[in-house]
Amino acid sequence: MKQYQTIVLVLTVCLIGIGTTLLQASDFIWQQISGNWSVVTDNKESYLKENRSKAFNFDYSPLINCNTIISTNSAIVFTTVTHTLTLDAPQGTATYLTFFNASDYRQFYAVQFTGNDSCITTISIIQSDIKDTTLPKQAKGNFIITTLASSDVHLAYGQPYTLAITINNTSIAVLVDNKQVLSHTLNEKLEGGSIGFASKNCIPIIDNCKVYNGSTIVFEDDFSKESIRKIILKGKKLTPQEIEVQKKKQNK
Amino acid sequence: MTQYRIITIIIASLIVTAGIGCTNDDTTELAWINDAGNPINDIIWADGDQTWANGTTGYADQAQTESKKVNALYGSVIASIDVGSGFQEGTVIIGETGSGSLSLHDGSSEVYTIISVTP
Repeated sequence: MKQYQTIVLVLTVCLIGIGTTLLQASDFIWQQISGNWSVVTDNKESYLKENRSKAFNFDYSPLINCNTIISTNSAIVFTTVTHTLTLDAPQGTATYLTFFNASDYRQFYAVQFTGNDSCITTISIIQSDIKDTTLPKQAKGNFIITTLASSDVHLAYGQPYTLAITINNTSIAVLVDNKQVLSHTLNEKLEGGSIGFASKNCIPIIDNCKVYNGSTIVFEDDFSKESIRKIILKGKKLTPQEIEVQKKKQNK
Repeated sequence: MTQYRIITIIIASLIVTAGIGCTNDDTTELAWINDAGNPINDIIWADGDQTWANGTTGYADQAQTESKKVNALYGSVIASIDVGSGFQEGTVIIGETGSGSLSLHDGSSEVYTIISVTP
């Protein structure tokens, strides 16, 4: 009898362990590709913010060339994506993207905001694709960005706007504060993918992200808790003795 | 006339001496060893003050980058890594300080090793 009790106890502990691991794994709903994204909580509210502004041209994809986070859910099929957006601290040409239907870091659609030092001047619908599929993925600059539609706007920095992207079959529309600013008919019906946010030369603040398929919410984040997985590399300084050993190794 | 010549020579000598004195041979150099078990493709020091890249192959495990001159003595380090779904950027945290920034000694030649990549 005692044996059974022990076995049941061990199994229970194992199941709790597995459950906890799965719960922890599913805690991350965003993956940081680049930049320094964080969930910021102040006295009143919490929101998503990119803190670095400056981005580096690694050039493997348009997304790594910006400061980017992408949803860990890679099969989001939607009719509407909506979130609030404030762009701050522009430096030179500020760029911001809400991207969707991403099958990888080079293949996606996006709504792009661009601005100068004083205001946001353009909203575009863009498509990114692989330029030469025969090249290895390490090839730099192997992507092509096509502007599908574009509209001149005059939006202020530091002011929150509600962005909505709606899809109806192949028709895509972009609304800012419930007013349509842009529409386009795509050549293909979107089959779903990851969504995400990317920026460079500005600080984006994002909140209340909701993704609908019809009237059903299929994805949402109110950024009330940190849910971003990031790559961390651990480094160590070599002592002069270790450097000497390393030199000898290299010379062998 | 001879006096003027002497004064001119003295002034010229002083200028040359001062010029030599001002030349700074204290080059600060930095190199990296990849001991993380995965290839690392690009390393950027201090917002682009110096970069290391090795074509499309990157730096394999146990590879050492060349030692390069840096101007910035303080900064953070980021690197690009292929995670399968694409290339991502990671921040290097130095174990001794637990910080993403590091300070170099002026004129030193320092080597850092990257010992792990997570997740």
